[in-house]
Amino acid sequence: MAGCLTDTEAVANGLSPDVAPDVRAELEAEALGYIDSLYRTALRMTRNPADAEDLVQEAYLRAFRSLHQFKPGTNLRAWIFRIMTNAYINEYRKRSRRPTNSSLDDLEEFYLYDHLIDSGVQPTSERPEDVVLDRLTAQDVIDALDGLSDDFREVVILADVEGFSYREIAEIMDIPVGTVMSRLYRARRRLQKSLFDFAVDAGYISGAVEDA
Amino acid sequence: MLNCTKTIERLYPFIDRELSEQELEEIREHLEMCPPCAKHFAFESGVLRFINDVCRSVEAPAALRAKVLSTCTYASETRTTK
Repeated sequence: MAGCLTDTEAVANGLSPDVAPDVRAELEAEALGYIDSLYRTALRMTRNPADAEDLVQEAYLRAFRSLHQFKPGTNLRAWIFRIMTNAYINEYRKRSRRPTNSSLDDLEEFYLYDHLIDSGVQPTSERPEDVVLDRLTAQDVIDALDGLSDDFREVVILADVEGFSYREIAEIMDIPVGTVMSRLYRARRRLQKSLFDFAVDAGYISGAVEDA
Repeated sequence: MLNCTKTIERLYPFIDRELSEQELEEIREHLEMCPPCAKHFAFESGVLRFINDVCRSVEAPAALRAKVLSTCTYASETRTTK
């Protein structure tokens, strides 16, 4: 259905008239290229495929409706992620509340690596640090992510899955770069603690020396 | 020359490529001289790669793609197929 709308038709369709058709076409096409990226982020944020689809759709609707606010030459991918973040905060955060591992303030220094080096592995032929990467499953990673609070989960997804820079994440989440760094650090500590606990529960390693 | 504590402090900015070229070089120098730190860095990268692999295996469902496409004014199917 590509074609040129007149300004009047554009307004009737809820579009801003001040985005030239060729610019709009280009931005729409670029934005569509981010759908996998947006969907997998939405899926980890909502933890539910149906909600994730709704959230992505909502993000595109909002983005297309406010394309005139996008500054050409700036980062469209970060811009649409920011729109999705706001949509999530407004519409989904309240209804998807679930308990998270928030009572872990003592985890500032939890480095999984150090704990694995200190712990015993069964069978002992393996190097403890290989256990996590070799034996923990995709589901363990998903469970560990899902156990993080919204703010921690999002910062990890944006950095470690989508590869956004600290500055871009600051823009998307509307927080200072220093907050991005501290949040990312703490989120990674909690994530590693969960993975460690899974490995202990599964009997891959012994958690007995945790306090040694 | 950086010591181990200072090096580990920069573990994530290093892995996240958020350091200047000079800072990167200082870390690389330390890692070459210090196998324990090098192992720790390699492990952290491995954990992050694992998380990345797990999450990136997900793609948007075709139905969602079609729905979003239908909300576009100009972009057509042919423009968006990779």
